[in-house]
Amino acid sequence: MLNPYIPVLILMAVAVAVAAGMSVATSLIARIFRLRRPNPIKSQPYECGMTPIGGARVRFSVKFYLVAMLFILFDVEAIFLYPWAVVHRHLGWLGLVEMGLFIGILAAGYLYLWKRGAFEWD
Amino acid sequence: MDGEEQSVVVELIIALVKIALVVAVIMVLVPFLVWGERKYVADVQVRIGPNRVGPFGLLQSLADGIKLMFKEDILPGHVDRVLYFLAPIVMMIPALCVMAVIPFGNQITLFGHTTRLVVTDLPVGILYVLALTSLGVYGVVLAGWASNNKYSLLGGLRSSAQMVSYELPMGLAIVAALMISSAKGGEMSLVSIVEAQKDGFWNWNFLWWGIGFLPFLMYWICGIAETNRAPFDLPEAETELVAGYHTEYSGMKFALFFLAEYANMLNVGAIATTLFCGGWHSPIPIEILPKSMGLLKALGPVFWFSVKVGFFIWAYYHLRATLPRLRYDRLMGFAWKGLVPLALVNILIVATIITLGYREKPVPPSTSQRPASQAVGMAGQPGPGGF
Amino acid sequence: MGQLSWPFIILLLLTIISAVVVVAERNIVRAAVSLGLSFLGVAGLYLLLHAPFLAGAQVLIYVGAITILILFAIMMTAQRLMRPPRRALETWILSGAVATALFGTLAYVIINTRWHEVDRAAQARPDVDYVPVLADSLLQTYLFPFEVASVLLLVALVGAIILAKEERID
Repeated sequence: MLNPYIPVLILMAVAVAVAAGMSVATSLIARIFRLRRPNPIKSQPYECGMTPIGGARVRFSVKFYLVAMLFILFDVEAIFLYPWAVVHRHLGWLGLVEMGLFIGILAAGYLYLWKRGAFEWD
Repeated sequence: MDGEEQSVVVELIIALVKIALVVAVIMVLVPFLVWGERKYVADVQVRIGPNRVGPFGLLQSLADGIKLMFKEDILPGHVDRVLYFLAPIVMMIPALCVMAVIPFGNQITLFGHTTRLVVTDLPVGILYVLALTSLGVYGVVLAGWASNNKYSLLGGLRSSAQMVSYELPMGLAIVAALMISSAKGGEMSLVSIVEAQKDGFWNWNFLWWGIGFLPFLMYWICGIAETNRAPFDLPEAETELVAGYHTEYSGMKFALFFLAEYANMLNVGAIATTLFCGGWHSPIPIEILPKSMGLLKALGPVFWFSVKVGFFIWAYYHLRATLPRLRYDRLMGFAWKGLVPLALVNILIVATIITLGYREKPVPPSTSQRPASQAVGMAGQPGPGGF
Repeated sequence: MGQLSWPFIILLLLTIISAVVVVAERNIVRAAVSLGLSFLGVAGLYLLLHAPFLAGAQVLIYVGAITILILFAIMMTAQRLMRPPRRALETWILSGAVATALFGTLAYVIINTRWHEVDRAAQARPDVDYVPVLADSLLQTYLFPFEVASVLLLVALVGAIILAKEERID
């Protein structure tokens, strides 16, 4: 029997080859046909024709960071749900109560977050 | 031993053929999907749409592709060169790889070899899909950061925060789908999930006992948001952010983002079909063709699969043509205050209903259904030498 | 016993080389991306150890969430603040001490593990990562740690909001 992960590896290799090939192809074509004519104005960051003021690496709202943190925590929770989802009917009511407790504890945290305004985007 | 090795080689060749088929179909289909979208949206808006290149403008996307190939390859100043080149590639790889585990047809027999129409059936297939989906964020973040452009950075950030926020309810909706299909004997492998939905459309997960429709709807909404499509196409809100994270990209590197977007649309449609709409099963379990028409009969499931995915693609077009774009705070609020709690409550409700109603049919514990060595997918030889 | 297969060697090289890049790379965003690559290599190693579920979880959480968080954190600080760190003597001593302690602990564990017994145990139960078995052990054998994990997540949720909201006051 063929190891089922071998086709995945091959497909990944093909995907890398396709994507990298297309990227490299542009550069090659550009070189062959001498398509690259840079000038200082052209290589400016695009800002609708205005001269850019300041760098692009501006600081941004901490909200994005909070979203990423909350995502990790709820993602871990979701990971725990997967194995249970597959076998929950064998575990019956006991499993449901256990999982209800698990989700319930996190729901308390979720409600606290809501009250503290973690989900308000202002 | 010799025969075993030979059969592995045959399986490898079959796998290579299937991989080539999948990649080729995606790459060929995308230009026509773009054309179809332009035509459809034009039709809705009482315009004509592309009609100059080829019959009905069919070759328009091909012409666009050639144009992109011969455009000046602009490398803006001050970009982080390594990441700037890497971002579109990183975007494209998961988009192509997701298709590996999606069954697009039943078993087929060609030249005496019977094979399933799926590149590979992983025992943790659904986790593989989720893992690859979560990698899609990288392309967006890196493109936004590497471009050294305010629009790109803001677009990339918005887009990645959006993708991350909708990935969560998407995962939770998939948990509900897993529970429903496990009540019918399905597991985490996508082939087993499709098998669990056989015998007619009333067994498809999204219709089953009325509890599958909500997770189906949630998955679909999250899928649209994950692919950054209308009405969730905030990252490229041209009135605010020009083109979002790919503002500074041109030529084939821009085309890669485009390709990845449409490949991801296909992926979301295919996963929705597999998880909720019976995969390649026909809606009514009647054998129309006689057994003698072997090949044609084997292509029937491929037809049904394509029709279902096509429906989702049409839904993408139609939503884009009809719905206005959401405001960003509404978008994030919808995910965190709407979909996440709804998905959690829905999981508990689905579990309660299944535990209530589906105890009488005794199913053998799935631990004994197949040997563990097959479950982990190794050839039985343990340790790192397993390959 | 003792033989190294080519997937193992490739994954090992991927993990170690990208880990070295994380430390050596001056550009902090590239270092973070390299960290993600290193995590991917670890996920591949889990796969070789017959733990596909763990590998999936590794990709989902470490590569898909934690590295993204690190990238966000880097972008949140202004570029000006990202000068190469100063190489003061006390930094060297402190980081050297931490690294040595960590290395010593790991080396001690590796040397003192009876690998033959681990290997035998693994061969006796090759199904521990098979998802239904995993669920059974999670919800029956290890129920208490499992519920404690949710409390841990709750604490982290509260910590996250306090961290983010305190920032906004000043």
